[in-house]
Amino acid sequence: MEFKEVVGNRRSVRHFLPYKQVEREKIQVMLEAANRSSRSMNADYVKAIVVNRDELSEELRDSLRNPTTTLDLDMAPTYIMWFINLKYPEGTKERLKQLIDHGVNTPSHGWSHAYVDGVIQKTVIDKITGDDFRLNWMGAIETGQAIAQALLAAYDEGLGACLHNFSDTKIREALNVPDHWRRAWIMLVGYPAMGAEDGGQRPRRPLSENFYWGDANTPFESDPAVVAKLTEAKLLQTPSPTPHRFEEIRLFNREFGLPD
Amino acid sequence: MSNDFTVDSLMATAEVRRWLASARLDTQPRIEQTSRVQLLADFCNAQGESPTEMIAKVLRGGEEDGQYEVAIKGRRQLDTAINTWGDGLGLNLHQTITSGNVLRSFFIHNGVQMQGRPSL
Repeated sequence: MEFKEVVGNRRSVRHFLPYKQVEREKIQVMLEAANRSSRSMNADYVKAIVVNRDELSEELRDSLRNPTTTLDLDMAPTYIMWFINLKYPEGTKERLKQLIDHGVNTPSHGWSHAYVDGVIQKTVIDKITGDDFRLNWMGAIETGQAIAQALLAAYDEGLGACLHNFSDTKIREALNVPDHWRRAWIMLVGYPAMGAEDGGQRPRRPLSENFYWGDANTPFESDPAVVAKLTEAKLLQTPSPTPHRFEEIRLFNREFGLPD
Repeated sequence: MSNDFTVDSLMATAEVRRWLASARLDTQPRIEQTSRVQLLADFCNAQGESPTEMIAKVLRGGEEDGQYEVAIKGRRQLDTAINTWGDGLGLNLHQTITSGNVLRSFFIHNGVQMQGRPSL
């Protein structure tokens, strides 16, 4: 699938085929995509544990539930629990020197082993590790980028997914989650029950409401010719609700006895 | 158990009208509406409480600005009461879950955020 179509296809899927398992190789594709994400200091910000729904005991599955993540946990066959590794600054010096040795961080941009060995500890690493807000803020941004890439890879593989909050009180012990892994999101993965379209693209505000050119008072105005091009490339698709969406939902609810 | 609640009496309430409209059940054949309201009436009679009373146990406040807080414990108790009531109906599992989810639908469309159990 072309990149723009993958982006266009991504939407939060909440209606899965509960009986259709996700192939392990597709999960690997998602994790590889996460592993290629942009990351400052080439650090390992993200940790993830993959489990299949049916491998968890009912008690553990129940322990993940919160008011907005309940039905989805029953329907999605695979869960990816994403965490922020709060020990990500560890090993920074070695990784940065590796980037210098690989010609990635170059002297033209101020990089040298001497800078990494003698300066970076106090000016960068200590400032991150000594500031809880900064530590978490960087961790959350970089983890989010990895999650986003895994998410897009899922759609490229014909899957659907949705990110949710989850309760990790019991699961941490059961899955041996270290204390320095901070809960991010649980990604519920499966095959969309209502196809890739899944009710159409979700509503978004126009670019001009959130994006600017030159200064924050000058909205970025969308060019209709680009919109036409992106529509052809399927980055922009039929908006929700698609025709018959509510009949589709009603039939799905009826199949699984769900509330209308 | 009381017999105070009937389809007709509940159909006249604002909560049931809101439910049927919000769930788009009001465009469905009348039997689709009355069969669901009958389940709600049965549940109300079993609990000895009106829909309004049950909702009020979960949604607190709202007098001044129409904004409510969810009573987590109350919601959990309501969910358990729905399951217990369903289990006592003597139906098969699919019918039991579906009946409970009809009640959940009523509460959901009246602002009680809860999710259904799927029949898998």
